[in-house]
Amino acid sequence: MNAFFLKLRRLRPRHYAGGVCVLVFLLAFYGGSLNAVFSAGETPLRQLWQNLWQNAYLKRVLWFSFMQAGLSALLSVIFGIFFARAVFYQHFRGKKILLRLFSLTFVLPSLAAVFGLLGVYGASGWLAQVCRFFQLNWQPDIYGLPGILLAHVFFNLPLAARLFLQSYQAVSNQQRQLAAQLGIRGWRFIRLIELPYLRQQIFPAFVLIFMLCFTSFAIVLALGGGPKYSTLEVAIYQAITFDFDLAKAALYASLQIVFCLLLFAFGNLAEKMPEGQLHQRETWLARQSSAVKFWQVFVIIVATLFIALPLGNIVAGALFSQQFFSAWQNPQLWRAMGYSFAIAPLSALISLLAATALLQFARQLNWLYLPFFARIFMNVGMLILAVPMLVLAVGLFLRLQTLDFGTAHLFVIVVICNALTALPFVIRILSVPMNNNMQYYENLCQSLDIRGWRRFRLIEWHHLAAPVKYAFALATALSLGDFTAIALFGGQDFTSLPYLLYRQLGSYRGEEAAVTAFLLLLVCAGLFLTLEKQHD
Amino acid sequence: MINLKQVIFRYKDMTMQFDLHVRPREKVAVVGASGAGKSTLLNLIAGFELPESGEIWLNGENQTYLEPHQRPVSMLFQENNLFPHLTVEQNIALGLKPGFDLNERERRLVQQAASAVGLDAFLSRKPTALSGGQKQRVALARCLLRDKPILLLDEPFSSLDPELRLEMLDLLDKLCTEKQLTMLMVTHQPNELKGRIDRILTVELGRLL
Repeated sequence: MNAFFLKLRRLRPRHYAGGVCVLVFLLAFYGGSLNAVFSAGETPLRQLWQNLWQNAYLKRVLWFSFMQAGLSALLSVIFGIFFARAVFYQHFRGKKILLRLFSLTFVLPSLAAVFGLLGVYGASGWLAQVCRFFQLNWQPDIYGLPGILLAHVFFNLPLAARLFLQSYQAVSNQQRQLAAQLGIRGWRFIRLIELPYLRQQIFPAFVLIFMLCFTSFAIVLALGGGPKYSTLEVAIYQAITFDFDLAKAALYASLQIVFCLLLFAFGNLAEKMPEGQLHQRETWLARQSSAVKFWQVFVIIVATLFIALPLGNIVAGALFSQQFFSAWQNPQLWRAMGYSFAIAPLSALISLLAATALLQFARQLNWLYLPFFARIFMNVGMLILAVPMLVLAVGLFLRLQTLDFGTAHLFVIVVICNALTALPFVIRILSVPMNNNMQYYENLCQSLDIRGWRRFRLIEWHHLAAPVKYAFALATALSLGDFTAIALFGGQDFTSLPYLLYRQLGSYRGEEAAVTAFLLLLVCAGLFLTLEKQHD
Repeated sequence: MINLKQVIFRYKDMTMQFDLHVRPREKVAVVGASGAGKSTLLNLIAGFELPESGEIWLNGENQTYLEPHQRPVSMLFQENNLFPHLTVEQNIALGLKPGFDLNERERRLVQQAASAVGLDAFLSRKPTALSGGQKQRVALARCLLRDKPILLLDEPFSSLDPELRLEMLDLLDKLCTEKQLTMLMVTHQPNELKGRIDRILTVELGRLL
């Protein structure tokens, strides 16, 4: 105990002031919001169980939530493995560009992707036109489960592929050469060499994607097409906006929290970083049979078309839109743009500041051999991964509904919500360089009396500049495409680009939606390019 | 002068206790197995770690709880002595003050320190363009510039090859005599220090023998 207080004596306000402020704010924010959720129903917990077993609607929603998430994760993992293997073994020009195109989906706003998918697979989309051209009597129906799965695989296939690509890269040259010498080829090579590496990654990837799809909101809302295909996340939203039944929304939200916390705990168990040398000079590969090669080229082409066609559709949709010029005269578009371009960088900035303050405190605790406390603080920053933003937003909505709200208030709330959503990603990006700066330079800086702003400017910034820019661009892109908080708080006077796009999609104003989707794609692709530059 | 009076420090399961007296201008080598507490001993003197109890007296003053930069101590680590993004000149200049707005006199001091370690031709280079020995020379130059009476060295030359190591020890010897430094050096090669030091201390399981 004595030693513990001795360590605390070494903390200075510059170490903890910012971090403690962020911490208190986060806890108050979560506490206030969740408290509102839990106390909105009269006796939520009892009701919860009654509803669970009696309410047919809820049962169907739960079943569909788990089913679509499981299927999405399964398909993403399977196709992800196929694609990763093919890309790993085939060398072709533009491979790097192809992988970048796949990575673009990480920052692509989900509603923009929905627009592109509708343009390809929708009732009057490219696929339908091809069918008509060949006089096939088949009409694709994207709304419902097929559309949700398509969109989820569209977003998560690249994620899975990236994880599995690391597994393939982790197999060392020596092992490959040894296998070749011993005549281990074909299926046996996959089973004996590749599978052990893949297996480490399959379960974590599945859990991660399951969780993303389980809490996926905009996609299900836009492509579900009715209460039959509603997930719990969307049911919360519909209870508020359509039924205006706040008690019901609160009940669903508490259920969602329970599931998400379980999944989050489960995911933490599964989380395992791939080991092995990722930066081998040159990978040695055994010769392939032509059948395998043929198959892999086929896989690459299909996957490329799957990802590229919806993106191409967004571009083509805008360029060939009859309203490409007139859409710009729509004051709503300008208002949405104004809000989006104000919300996104602001929330990214707040996210950065909060992450830096938390990390500054956490690394100091680590330095004083208090890693347990450091981890607790970091987990508070990551909480948003366990408690979906929609649930938090519902809590805020319940808490603040009696107040008279102006647009300025809504603006602040949405900025904070988006900042919180980006916080875990920003923390992950900054934690390694922040901690490295501590490990390498703490003693040196202490003995030379370099501290505060001067230390930041002279010493730390050099190593932080690139990751900070990277985190900022990523957070901006995420916030720009976010359609969670704004779905609840948006309206006629307060909109954003995704909000406008959702409205346009809902009212079948495809020509206008094309321009909005294109705009979102353009800005996010621009941010993505700066991201990649920082990363290299 | 260094004086440790019943200094107790706990790290995980290990309890270390140090009693030590080093006279002014004495040169002492510290040896012992890895994990025995040699670096901890130096960290306690430098102020990077605080003892649970006991007192640390440096130059006749009780400095047990003083910040590292307030103590009359310079320390040379095994590595990471330099900021890789700053030039040699800037790295040395940080020994004068925590900033780069040097006046003419200070600039001359930096140059003098650099030439004392034979590196005046390298002032504008970045540490990445220096060899291991040169990097430690830069760090040594900065210690000189700080002009603190106590110099602590934590295996400063162990990553250098034997020939270079002897060369560095000669240089160190010269500087210690010139500046009348009290020196404490953790080393794995006490034989190489023969004739250059006054005595050898052995640390075992967190205690001085």
